[in-house]
Amino acid sequence: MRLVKVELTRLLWRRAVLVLLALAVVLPLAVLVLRVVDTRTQSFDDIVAENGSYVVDEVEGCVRHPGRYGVGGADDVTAACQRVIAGWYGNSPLDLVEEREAGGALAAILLVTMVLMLAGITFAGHDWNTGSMSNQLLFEPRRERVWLAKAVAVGLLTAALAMAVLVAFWTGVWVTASVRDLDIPAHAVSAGYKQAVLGAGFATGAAVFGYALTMLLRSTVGTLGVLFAVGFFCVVVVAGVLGLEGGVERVMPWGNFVAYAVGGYEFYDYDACVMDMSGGGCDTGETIKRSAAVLYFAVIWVVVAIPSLLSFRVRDVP
Amino acid sequence: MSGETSSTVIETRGLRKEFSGRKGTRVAVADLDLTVRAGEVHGFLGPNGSGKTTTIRMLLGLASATAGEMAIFGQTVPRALPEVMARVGAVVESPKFSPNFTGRQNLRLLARSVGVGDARVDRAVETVGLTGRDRERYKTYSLGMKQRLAIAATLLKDPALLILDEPTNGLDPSGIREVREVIRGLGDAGVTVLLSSHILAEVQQVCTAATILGNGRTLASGSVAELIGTSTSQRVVTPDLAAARTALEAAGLRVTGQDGPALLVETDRPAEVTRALGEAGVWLTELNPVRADLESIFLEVTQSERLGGQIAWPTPGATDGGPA
Ligand SMILES: Nc1ncnc2c1ncn2[C@@H]1O[C@H](COP(=O)(O)OP(=O)(O)OP(=O)(O)O)[C@@H](O)[C@H]1O
Ligand SMILES: [Mg+2]
Repeated sequence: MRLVKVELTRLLWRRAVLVLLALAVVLPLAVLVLRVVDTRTQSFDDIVAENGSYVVDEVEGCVRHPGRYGVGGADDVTAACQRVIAGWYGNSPLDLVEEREAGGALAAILLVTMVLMLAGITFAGHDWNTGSMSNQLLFEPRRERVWLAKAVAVGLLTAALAMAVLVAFWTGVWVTASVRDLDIPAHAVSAGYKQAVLGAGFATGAAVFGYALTMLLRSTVGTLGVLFAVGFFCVVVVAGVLGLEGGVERVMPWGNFVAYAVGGYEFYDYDACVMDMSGGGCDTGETIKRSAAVLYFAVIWVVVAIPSLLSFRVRDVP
Repeated sequence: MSGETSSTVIETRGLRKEFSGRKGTRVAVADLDLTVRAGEVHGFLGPNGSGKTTTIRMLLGLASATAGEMAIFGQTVPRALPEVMARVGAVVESPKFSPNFTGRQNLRLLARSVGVGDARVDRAVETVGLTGRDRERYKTYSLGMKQRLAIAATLLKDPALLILDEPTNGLDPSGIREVREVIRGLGDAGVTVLLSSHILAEVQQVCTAATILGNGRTLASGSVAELIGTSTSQRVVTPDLAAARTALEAAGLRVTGQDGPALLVETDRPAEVTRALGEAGVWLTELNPVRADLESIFLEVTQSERLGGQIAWPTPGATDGGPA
């Protein structure tokens, strides 16, 4: 416990870590602001000002031929036309379900995750880059304790911060929707908070993962290099060159992240149809369940964290 | 602290460390026997790359031994390190702290990890003369200040054993003297010190015992007086050096070298030299004893190791009864 406190202090005294923690607050906040602005309710004049006079032309066309625009029987044709055209050119209003399943909330979780993972990486990397790890071990030679104390410190700090930020994000979305008097589907609010908690767990896991990987590789640059290489491999080689064919998506991080955060991820497996000679209705839809995603990330986490701890116990420390 | 002065504080037996790299295996420490007794200020000497730092890192649990046994305070390490380290202060190679923290912050983190309060930090800072500069960032320190901070860190624990790897490296003459005084003071207070150093004059002044290392092996070990004493030789000047050499060697004396017009003869009894030369009819023009200092011992021992020569040095282990 004493060691955890010491490591928390060490974390909070590090400027690079503080900058990253600040970013973990600012970036999701920026996303929230963008979303609030992007979904603001607009008057017809706002839409014209934003899109130009052809919006007005479009409305005039509608008034001339209301039938083509599906507002044939309206009492106030102009108002009805304006409503339809505004729907085409104007903002779509804030939608809590959309926000949670494909919108800003996912972006916020991803940003917090990446920034906090960087914090875990830089925290561990610093000890190695400066060589101060050996000095610490002269004061606490029980290496597994040192590893765990640092991991717990990273975990506690990032969990608290991620939780606060993501809950605040969702509260912001909810308050905005209420203030704008939008209709809020049943359970949408609580589903959002549940996602915030899950997201905080994900970000915490990622931060400790970054820490563990750096403890294994013993270098900030090395760790970033490995992560970048893996990301490059996934995005460019697997997704871009080989294509997301067959069940490949099942093992890609993105689909699993969405499955974890949203509850499920659907993708299409066209290979299944090629194999299916019966012709006609071939159902290519596949789903990654949340449980599968949890298993996916847990395996990656354990595959790094356990060797990291074990190798730290036995390897020479420079 | 150390009540029983005869007890062994550090003991290694057959200690070995191999590093395997791309170019094969390098033996950094080869079957090293080292004994440091309580109350000693023990010099740990050896040329660059002879394995001093590697030995110290193994003792402290920073590196694993390939083979052999180690004990500190009679307890087998690395197994007993958690209990033992509370009484061991150490500086290994160059000091390593977080560059963006102040000297004081660095010390406080270390102190807190062993449950030591800030008052102790103050005292350590004062002891090494860093008061006033301790609130500046470590990266702005000069090398000497970094060394002082490293020594301050060892004082946080109230150690009964100090292991210092070239602690005066980079210090100015007054800094060296201050560190020497600190070490002497600790030695007088009963703290056992293992001091690796290249500055032999310093070791000779501060240390009570020493071990000389070469290629990872113990070449010589014992009290400083013993080490120097065994090597007293005579400087012999005669008109006919060749005849003198023949006569001395015929008498069973060892001629270790020639120094200008003089022969160096290894013996601490000048009478043997005069008799051998007198009996052969070679007359002395000058005879004086050369009292070796640690430096000449060091050079001689490490030189003969390099040449593969054999010199009868007192070997450690001959007098003690095996690992604790
Ligand atoms: N991590 C390592 N990997 C490979 N070889 C190493 C490593 N550390 C030390 N060595 C080698 O082990 C040998 C002993 O090195 P060591 O640092 O113990 O010497 P030293 O006596 O402390 O030298 P110096 O007086 O220069 O400090 C050297 O040949 C060195 O190259
Ligand atoms: Mg060294």
